[in-house]
Amino acid sequence: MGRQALIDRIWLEAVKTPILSCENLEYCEEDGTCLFSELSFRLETGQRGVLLADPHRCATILLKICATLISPTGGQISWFGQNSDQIDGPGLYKLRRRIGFVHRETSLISNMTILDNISLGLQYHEEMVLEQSYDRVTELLKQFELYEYRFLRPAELTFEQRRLAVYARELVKKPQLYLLEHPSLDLGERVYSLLLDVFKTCSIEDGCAFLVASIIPEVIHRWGDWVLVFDKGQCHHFEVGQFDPSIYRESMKRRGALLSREWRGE
Amino acid sequence: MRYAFFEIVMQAAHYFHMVTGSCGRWFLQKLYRLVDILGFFVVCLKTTLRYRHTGQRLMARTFIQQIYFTGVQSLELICLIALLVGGLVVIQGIAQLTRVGSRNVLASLLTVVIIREVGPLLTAVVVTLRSGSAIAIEMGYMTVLREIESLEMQGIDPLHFLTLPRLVGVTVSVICLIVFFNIVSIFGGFVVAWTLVDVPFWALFSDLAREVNGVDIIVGSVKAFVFGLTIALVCMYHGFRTGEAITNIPPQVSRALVDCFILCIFFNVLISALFYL
Repeated sequence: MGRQALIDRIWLEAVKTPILSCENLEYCEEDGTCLFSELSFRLETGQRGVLLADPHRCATILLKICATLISPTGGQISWFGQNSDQIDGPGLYKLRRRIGFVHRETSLISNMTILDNISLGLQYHEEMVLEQSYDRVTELLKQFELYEYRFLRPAELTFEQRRLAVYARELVKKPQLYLLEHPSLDLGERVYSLLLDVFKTCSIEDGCAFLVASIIPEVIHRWGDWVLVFDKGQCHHFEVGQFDPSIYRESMKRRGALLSREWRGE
Repeated sequence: MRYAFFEIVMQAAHYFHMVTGSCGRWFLQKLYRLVDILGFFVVCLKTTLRYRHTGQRLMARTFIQQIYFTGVQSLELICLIALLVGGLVVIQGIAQLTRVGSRNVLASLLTVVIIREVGPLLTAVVVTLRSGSAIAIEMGYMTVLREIESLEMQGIDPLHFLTLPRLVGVTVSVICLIVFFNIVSIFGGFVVAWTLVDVPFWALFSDLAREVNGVDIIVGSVKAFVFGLTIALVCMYHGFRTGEAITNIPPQVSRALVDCFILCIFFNVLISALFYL
């Protein structure tokens, strides 16, 4: 086999391997309440999935399971072809570097400056000297209009700037899988569009996959290739064309599940 | 009559059972916590060995910051306390020794009281109150505000990144502070002795040099090492166990400080007994 053919084969294998794969996933709480069961989906290179859930806790738990922060009570989950039971402690930390997770409560380290927060991973994993790591993040800081606030601590920034700094921190890692909860939270329309552009570039150029949890059905137009809807412990899978956000929204409204402030920015 | 006596006996047995039961429960609780803290220490050591080549520059910076906070910034306080304690020991020593006419054992008293016991213990108490509480609060806040989770998602093991520089920093600082405390407090004692009873400064100094032996220095170093490790470890252990509610921080910090104090006294007695009995 020629060298080029070998490279092609390895590349094809890599592309074929799903970035995230769940089979019959189940999560039950200690009191026996099952939030979801028999949940299966695959997230391939460059794909974008959306999770819509009522209650939203199901989506949060699923995102945390995908981020390796909690373990499912049943079923199989694998990242980049690696099964969860094959990963040991240090392997888990290596895997987390390949996952960008922005939870709605994700925070920055409060006693570090924004610059240190964003370049922390580079300083720790890549043994960069301070100036080197700062240079690497400068471009991103300028793009997110955080450059002039780089020496401030998180408490000195607005919610929007803090949220952007969290996104910047995840982007610097250059992960292959992004797990985002309420991506529009605390962001104005202009900044949200900017963020979407950045993520679109990641998806197209680097083949990054996205799993986005939201309570707003319209998010599927901006983020999704497919959508998973959790409803009363049941899980339904739709392709983009099959899903009608307005029907979902109406049914949610009837139940009074959505809060008005959570519609902001969409 | 017999029935009343039987009732009193039963009541007494009941109270005895209650008291011994709660004592036993208290003891077991403390024992479990101690075992848990030891387990935490083992996990920290394993993590340190596993990631010994990771993030060295960053860790060195955090280590220096910790030394500055625990060691350098508490110098003033330690200096003041050491001077006062040294003077106090000499005042009491002179008052008691003059009665029995053995003022010449003043240097020996200073060695026994300050270098062997009070110096290490008081330094440990000051470091616990100043830095131990700060560490427990910092870890508690980081847990509550999900900063620990953020670190984990950066692929950084918090046990390595947060624990190692603090463990080493506090231990090194405590060792240096104990040496500093001993020097300052003996100097303070000498000054008081020289001023109050006109004991020649150099006579006291030569007596002291004769009294302090290798065992005292080894014991001082062992105590300093154990106290430093205990303070950092216990405070971090309690900080990490804060849970999700911000209201858990004050009780956890108070538990950390009490545990540090008890453990330091316990280890002080243990080490003294091992070396001097």
